[in-house]
Amino acid sequence: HGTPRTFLISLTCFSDSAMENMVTEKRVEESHRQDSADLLIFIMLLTLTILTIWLFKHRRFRFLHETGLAMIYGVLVGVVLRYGIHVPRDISNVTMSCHVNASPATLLVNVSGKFYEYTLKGEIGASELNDIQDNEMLRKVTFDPEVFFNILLPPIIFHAGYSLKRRHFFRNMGSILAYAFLGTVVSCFVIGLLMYGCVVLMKQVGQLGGDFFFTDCLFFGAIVSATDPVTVLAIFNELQVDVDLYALLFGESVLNDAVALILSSSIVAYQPQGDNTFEFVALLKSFGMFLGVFSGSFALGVATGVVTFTKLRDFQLLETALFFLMSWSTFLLAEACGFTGVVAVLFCGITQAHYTFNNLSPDSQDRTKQLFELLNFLAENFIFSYMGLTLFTFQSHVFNPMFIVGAFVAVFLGRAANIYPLSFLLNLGRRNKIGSNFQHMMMFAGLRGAMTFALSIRDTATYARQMMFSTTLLVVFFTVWVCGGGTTQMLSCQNIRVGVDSDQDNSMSIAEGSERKTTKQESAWLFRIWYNFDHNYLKPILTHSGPPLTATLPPCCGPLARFLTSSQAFENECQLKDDDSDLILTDGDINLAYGDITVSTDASGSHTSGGPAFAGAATSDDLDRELTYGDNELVMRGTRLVLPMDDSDPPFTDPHHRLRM
Amino acid sequence: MDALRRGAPTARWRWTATAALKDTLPAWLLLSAAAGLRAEDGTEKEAEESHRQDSVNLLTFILLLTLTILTIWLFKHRRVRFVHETGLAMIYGLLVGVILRYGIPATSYHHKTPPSCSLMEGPVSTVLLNVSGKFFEYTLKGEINSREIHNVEQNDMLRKVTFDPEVFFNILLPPIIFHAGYSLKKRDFFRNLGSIITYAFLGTAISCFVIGNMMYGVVKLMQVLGQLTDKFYYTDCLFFGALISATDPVTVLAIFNDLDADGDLYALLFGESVLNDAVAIVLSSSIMAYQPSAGNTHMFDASAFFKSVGVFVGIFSGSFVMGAATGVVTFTKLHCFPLLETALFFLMSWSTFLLAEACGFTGVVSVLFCGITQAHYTCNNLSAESNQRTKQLFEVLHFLAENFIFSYMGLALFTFQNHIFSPIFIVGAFTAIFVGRAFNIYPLSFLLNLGRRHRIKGNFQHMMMFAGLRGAMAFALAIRDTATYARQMMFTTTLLIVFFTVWVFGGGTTPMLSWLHIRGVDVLFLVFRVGVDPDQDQQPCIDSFQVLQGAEGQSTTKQESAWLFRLWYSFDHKYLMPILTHSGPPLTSTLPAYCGPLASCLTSRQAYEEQLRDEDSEIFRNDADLTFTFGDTSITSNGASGSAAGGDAAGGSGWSANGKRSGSTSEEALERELDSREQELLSRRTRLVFPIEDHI
Repeated sequence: HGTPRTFLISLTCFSDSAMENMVTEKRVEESHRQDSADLLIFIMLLTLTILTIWLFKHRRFRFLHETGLAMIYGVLVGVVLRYGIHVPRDISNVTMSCHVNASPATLLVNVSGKFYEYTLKGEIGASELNDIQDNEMLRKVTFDPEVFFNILLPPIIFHAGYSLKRRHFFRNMGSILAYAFLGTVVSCFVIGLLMYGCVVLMKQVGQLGGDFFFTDCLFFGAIVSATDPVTVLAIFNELQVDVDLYALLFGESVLNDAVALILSSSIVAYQPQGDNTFEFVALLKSFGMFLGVFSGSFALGVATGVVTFTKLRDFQLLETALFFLMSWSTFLLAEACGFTGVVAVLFCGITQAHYTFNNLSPDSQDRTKQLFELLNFLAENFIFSYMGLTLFTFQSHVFNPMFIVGAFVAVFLGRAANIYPLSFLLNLGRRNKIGSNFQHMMMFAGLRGAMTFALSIRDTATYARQMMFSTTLLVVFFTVWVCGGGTTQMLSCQNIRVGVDSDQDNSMSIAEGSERKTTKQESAWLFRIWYNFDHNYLKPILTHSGPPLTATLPPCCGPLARFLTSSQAFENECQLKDDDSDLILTDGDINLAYGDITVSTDASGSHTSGGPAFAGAATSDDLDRELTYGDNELVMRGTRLVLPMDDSDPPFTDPHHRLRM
Repeated sequence: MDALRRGAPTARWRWTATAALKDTLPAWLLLSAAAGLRAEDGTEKEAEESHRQDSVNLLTFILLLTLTILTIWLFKHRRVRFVHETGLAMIYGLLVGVILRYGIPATSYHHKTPPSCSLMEGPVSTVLLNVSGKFFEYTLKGEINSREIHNVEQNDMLRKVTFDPEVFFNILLPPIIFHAGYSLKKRDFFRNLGSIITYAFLGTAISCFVIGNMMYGVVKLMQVLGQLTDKFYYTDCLFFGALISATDPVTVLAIFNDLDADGDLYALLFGESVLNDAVAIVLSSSIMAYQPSAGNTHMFDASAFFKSVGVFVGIFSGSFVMGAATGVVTFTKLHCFPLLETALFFLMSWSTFLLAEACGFTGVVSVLFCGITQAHYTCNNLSAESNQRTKQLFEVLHFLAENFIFSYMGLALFTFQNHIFSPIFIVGAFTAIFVGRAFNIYPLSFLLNLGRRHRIKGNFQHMMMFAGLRGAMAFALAIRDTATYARQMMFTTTLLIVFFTVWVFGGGTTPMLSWLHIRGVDVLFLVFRVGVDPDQDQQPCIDSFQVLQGAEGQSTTKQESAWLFRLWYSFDHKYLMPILTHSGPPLTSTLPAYCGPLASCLTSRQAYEEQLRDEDSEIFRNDADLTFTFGDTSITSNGASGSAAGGDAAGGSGWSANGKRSGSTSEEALERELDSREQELLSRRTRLVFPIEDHI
């Protein structure tokens, strides 16, 4: 290895060290205080946001979501910091020439016999040099971008995976995957190409102040393709909008992030030999990397998620702590293996919700859910308020009107190119068509959020990246405020059923009843096979629920089956407890909404226990029945009429659950 | 470890980063380097590599914790009590430390280029390195002494698993301390408030000075013997005394909880250890601030001493006021949204810490008092769900942080680079600690017993003496500054003391309890707990004991609480509780008539609706019981059912008492409340409802 890691630089210094020590110690103290005050600003911001959210929820304002609010407060504080506070600073600018032939990670400086260690923080552009010396305060409130990736994003993403509504998610799996993978790629390339056109135009007009390559455009396309409709989803939840639409949007946005993240990193890895010309080998390499990183992260996440805690049920604290640590170690493991931690965490969350969740004791289920909910809430609001702050405190914004306008146009066109053609194609295969009003709504709900921001702030060294960052920030602001705020209007404008729970009449339920047959057909055979496999083999092995393996495996595997099945599963043999999955589903409802009490509690009441219904049925029937049962449930939710149900017991049997309403 | 280096701000949010630096100038130094090209690629790859390395390192810690948890589970499952989870965490830490130290070959490629630059001003906080037109920013990480340079070059890996000590103070300690304050058993704590405060303040100061002086003797001896290779001042000795005076009997307390040992003893130990930490921190920082004027270095100087005392009082009261003030802040209307409530609670607690730090007080201390105040007031305002959520949240945080610190301790024994093992010093320190603890406990207990009706018996004193474990706080204080020779020696010694006390004393608690016949004392209670513990067969003596206990207990406790406490209690109950929470009597009934409008304005509507719901505090207490053990299921479940029964009884008796109380004087109310609680205790133990003559 020729690359040096540590350098020793000797600087000779002549000064009165005793006096110096006193002075410097005081300064250190001062700076520590200053730092505490800075962090306090953020905490106060969050506190303020929470209080205002409470006010809004209390008064049922729906035009502004908490994230939008956090951004507004962030902007206000940013303005104050930028223009209100002037910190006089003493600059001692000593320039020396040392002969160093690289930038090592660690620097040792020898000042008159004392050695000081310096660590590399990063490269800074030459233009920033003056700013660095200018305003210490603004730099202090600027976080290392890796904080977002390593601390703030993981809980958000994990929570998203953990609270995915699994049944509806699995029902619409095909469409969601199509939107997330194909759609994101389409959108990325459409935006990239449009932006390239825009950049070329700008070059002609002479508005471009630096290099802007095609890969940069593609990178921009990738980062801005990550949608984050948290605002819209919160409103959907409050208003009880159609579940399929919810599942489509939520599923898409969750998987979207993963795709965009890996896409952007493989675009960065696309380094052709020549100068930014198209090259097939590099493209293939890039593509291979995409597949490799994605599948690696996926496998890791699933593998960790699958790990079961079988016996810790008695000690909730240990269980919760273990759960937390396992999720975190998934992230670290993926990072250590060179995969993407965030993606691994996402799939870990999904898998844990599917399998591990069933193994937890009820108390731990609550605990973990609440813990991750809280983390998600704090991290999300922090990111959004930080976004508001950076609009003013970030030092090297490059606002270019043409680029911004182009970006807005490209974003909307890209979203359109994602949604409409894919919906058309999907509708060919789907029985339960995605109506055009759903399509418009999905088009409209293409908000950009935390992931886009985190990706764009990750590297702001070059001119192109700075311009991208500024533009992204504006795109996020616009979409969150305008699209987020207009959701309610848009819903009513598109005639999308709102408030599915209470004020619907019977005709709707009948229509829905007939729809039942279509959903049965809708799930593809692939999904069906997977479901059977999962239900018959994976669930019994990995959890305590599901039928015992002895019943599902052929008799020749008897001993093995008995060995792998837990004793609890045998006890539960007569009643498969699939309501666990329902529980998380409904609780997910509640968590996401944490809004109107009346609405969310309705949801929790309706999913009580359908467990006994599934007892001892053949598997394919089982699936059908589950799906139909889900539909029945939907009907009930919509109409609050107890229909005579032929194939499943009436779910409202448990008065306790009703009381929870 | 990402949390340390690049993601550094992650864990430390940059403020601690700078805080760690000594001798810094906030100035910029620009180094221009004439340079080799293509440096960038190498750097990027290296950064990636180091990021991966960091992830691996952090993963090591996480796996350590996971392993600890699994083993704890096994132990709990099998009811093994001789080693506590913290002891276990340390053992695992040690093992990993050994592997890291000796198992992994040091791979460090070092390139020594001493360019000669001259700088006039001393170190700066940021260095800009100009490599052929590109600027790289370097931040100062800290000073390393010349002996370490070799290590720096030699072993990158070991240095990587070493955290910035400020992480402990700013990230890991606050949740632990807050949780301690938040889960303080309020009733027993307030009953023994006087004794606890005496032990914590006076006792810690005594212990600090005793240990300091003894260590000074040891150091002198070492100097004579020629075993001391560097300076070791008197202030250093005192500092050692202060940091080692912070007791942390978490192991013992867990066992107490498991065994359901005497409530008073528990309260004394727990309360002392919690307040202890605060005193030790402030004491150590005021000893650091003791800087005699330039001429006579490290000699006694009256004015400097008084300044130091002033610093102590100032910091302590400042932190106290700040913590209490933030804790008092009420959330009145957020009831409907538990998530918001919990988030707000969390943020408020954190901002207490930051506020105190920003004002120059001690964050940890103010967090402690914030926790106590919040448990007392804010907790009543939270909705039931948020109440549980916050408790669970802080419990998890506390659990993780504590086990992390202990496993890091184990790790540090091998990975820390500058250990100085000096046998004389270590032996001296061990002796000094025991003597110091003895000087803390025995004389003070004697003095307290003069005033206390309910005496602290000899076996309790021995137990308190024995339970003087050292833990997280001593470690965090010791690792905070390991720059000089004296400090390094202190650190090594502290580490050994922590190991010894946690393993030996922690492991020996159960035998010690039975040897001191505290179980014997407990047998009284065990007898009462027949209902709880079916396998005890001393049924016949129940009645006599009950009578005895009932008579004695009631009369003593009434007298035991001092008039100061009494005064405070009535003030708190009549004015603070109604203003700050929804429970307690409405102000309109407690304030004199002419304050009517003000009173009705300050009292919340809920308080009118449900007059006096003091069971809140009971519930909290019981839950604290439950959460604290997380141990034997059988016992906890027993406790739960027992306390449920107790709760009923309390509800009954408390209610009847309340009906009367609304009209009666405060003095009576207090007594009656204490009485009813005493009754409740009895009923909990016996599950016999007796005729309570003075209430019904």
